[in-house]
Amino acid sequence: MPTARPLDEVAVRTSFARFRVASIVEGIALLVLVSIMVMRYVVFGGDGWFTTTSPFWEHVSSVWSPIHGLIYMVYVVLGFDLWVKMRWALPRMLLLMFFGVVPVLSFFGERWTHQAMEDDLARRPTLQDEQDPATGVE
Amino acid sequence: MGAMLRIALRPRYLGLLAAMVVATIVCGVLAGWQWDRAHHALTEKANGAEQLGDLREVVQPGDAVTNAIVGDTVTVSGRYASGQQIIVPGRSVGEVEAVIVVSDLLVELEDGTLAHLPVARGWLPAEEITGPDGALDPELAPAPPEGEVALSGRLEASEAATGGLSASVASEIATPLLVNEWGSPMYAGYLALDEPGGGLQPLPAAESRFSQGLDWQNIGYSFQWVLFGLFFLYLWWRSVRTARLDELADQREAMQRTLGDAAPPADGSAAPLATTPPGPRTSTDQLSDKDV
Repeated sequence: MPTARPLDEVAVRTSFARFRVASIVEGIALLVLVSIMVMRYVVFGGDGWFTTTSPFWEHVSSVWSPIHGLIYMVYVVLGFDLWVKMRWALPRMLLLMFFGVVPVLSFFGERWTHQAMEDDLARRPTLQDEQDPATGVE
Repeated sequence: MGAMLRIALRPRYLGLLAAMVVATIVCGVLAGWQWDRAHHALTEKANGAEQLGDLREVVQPGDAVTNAIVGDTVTVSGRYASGQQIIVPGRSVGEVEAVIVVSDLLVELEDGTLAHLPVARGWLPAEEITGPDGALDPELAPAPPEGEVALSGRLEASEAATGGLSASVASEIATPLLVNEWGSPMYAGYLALDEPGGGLQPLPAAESRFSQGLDWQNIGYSFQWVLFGLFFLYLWWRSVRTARLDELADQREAMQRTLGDAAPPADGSAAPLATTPPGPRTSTDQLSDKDV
């Protein structure tokens, strides 16, 4: 449903560029984390669940986990920035956060988000439309 | 404010609010969990090192030396394997460059097998075992006593191996390295002697984040969970606000449309703009392009 408040297409695209980088970085960071977890709990796993016999991988994991956590937070903040500028509904923000926690999904999530953004920019009025009323739709 | 409340009370936004409150509660629980973890170490180790008795009753070879028993005192008897001794240089105790001497104690288990227990017998200044060529000489480290010994010391977890072990010199007291050199079965930790002999000094307690008492990392995680929980509520408020602003803009647009219909088309683009309140810009040009 189109609304009268125009989107700022330039700001939206800038936000998206940042979000795209964050998605890719978060995707890679998560894959690294999963690999470390596999090494820690599966390859060098102990007898019980979530036990390990490898102090090395335990150490690696204790270093990388907080770093990954930080990367995820940056991802969420940049996703939030895009979400605010697109004025999307609440569930979509949860979806963006979800993309970041499932391995590999953030790569596809980024493309899905891009498509959703392009659709909305085409469908909804933008500030930039106003500057050039002749073209109407971008 | 009243208008915001009206939107917030719609079923859709109430439902979303319920979901967000659940998410916030989950985050709160996780924050509490991290908070407890941070304080666990304090309460656990507040009364100092515990006397746990015989090592063989406390931990089995290969089993993890968990936080619950690290730093506690155990007793053990066995005999030192001759010639199986390494030195771990590069430590500093106070201002002194220290070298730790680690020997291999053979502990007889109940079933008769001999298990290897690395024993950090103590430290000595690096200069004392530096050979004439200026390099550390493991041969200069005092040899362990022979025959059956009864020892008492602090149980410590294995250090993480970062370097290798060559020519009886290692950079860490790491059982994964020692097991290759000395053989298995081996305990997954080491004993730091309370009363070293042979001119060695007792080791200071190994420092881990756990042993330092209040774990600030967990405190940090706890606050992060609180922030995360509040973030969900903030998201909900933002979405209500967005809905409100969108509706305001729609109303304004509708009003402009009526005004625009009433006024002659020529100045229709200018007149309503003048009455538009500050906020997101809209224009009748755009209306005619997009919405009609």
